[in-house]
Amino acid sequence: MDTTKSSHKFFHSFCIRPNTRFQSQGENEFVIVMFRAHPITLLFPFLNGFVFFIFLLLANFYFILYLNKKEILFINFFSLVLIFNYFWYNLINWFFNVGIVTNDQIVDVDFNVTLYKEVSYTQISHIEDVTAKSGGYFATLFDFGNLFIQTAGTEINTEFLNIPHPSEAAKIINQLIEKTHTHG
Amino acid sequence: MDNVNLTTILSTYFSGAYLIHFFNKAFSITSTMVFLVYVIVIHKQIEEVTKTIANKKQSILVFISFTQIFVVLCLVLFALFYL
Repeated sequence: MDTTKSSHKFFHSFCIRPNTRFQSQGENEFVIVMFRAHPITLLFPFLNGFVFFIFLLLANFYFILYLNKKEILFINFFSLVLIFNYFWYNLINWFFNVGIVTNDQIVDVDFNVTLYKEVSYTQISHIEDVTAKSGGYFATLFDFGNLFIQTAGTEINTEFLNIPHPSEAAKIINQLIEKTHTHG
Repeated sequence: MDNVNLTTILSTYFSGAYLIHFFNKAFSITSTMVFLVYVIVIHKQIEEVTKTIANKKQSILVFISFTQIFVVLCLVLFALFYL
């Protein structure tokens, strides 16, 4: 895979040379790859939202019997906002859970909308082992899987879950490790 | 005027229909206000994370989350004054 040309695959879930910057980026540091979970992982939350919507439509037949117009209107507006928020929550979680590989380090942004935000940095020179794992019906069909990056000593190990082309991502990181070792 | 006494007033206000309306309104106001706090938290978190990872398209996300606050605020007002 050519890492010198800019390209975006799978709804920006596997971007090579993206136009992205992060807070602690150094002056001579540039982003090589950025990945997030495969968009197919959003399918199940979106199906759930769709089921909620169908349920709301059916519940309206029941509401007509017991509630007045204002109450029905309010319930429908509020439910639609809740359903939209459910989509939004999943979309935001997907969008901001990213892994960034630069020429110097690997940045793992774990973001949960309401609970926590965790950003971990791993120097490429500290990486010991990179493992790509993929398994299951959907993962094989759509080519996505997990990438585990092991570091030396007590440093936190980094993991990227459900990213597209995990073996390609591992290959890119391995090439960077080789470059770092040869150039010191 | 003979019928206007404490018993009739209390029976009007504590009748089944009035109580159901009262609980509906109270529940609607509480739930929309809780939800308003939740969408404000989401907006703040999005603003915070966009500082960590900067991208040109992220201003749209901030705008959508802000619009959501406005919509939920409208729902709070709906529950307060129209319901």
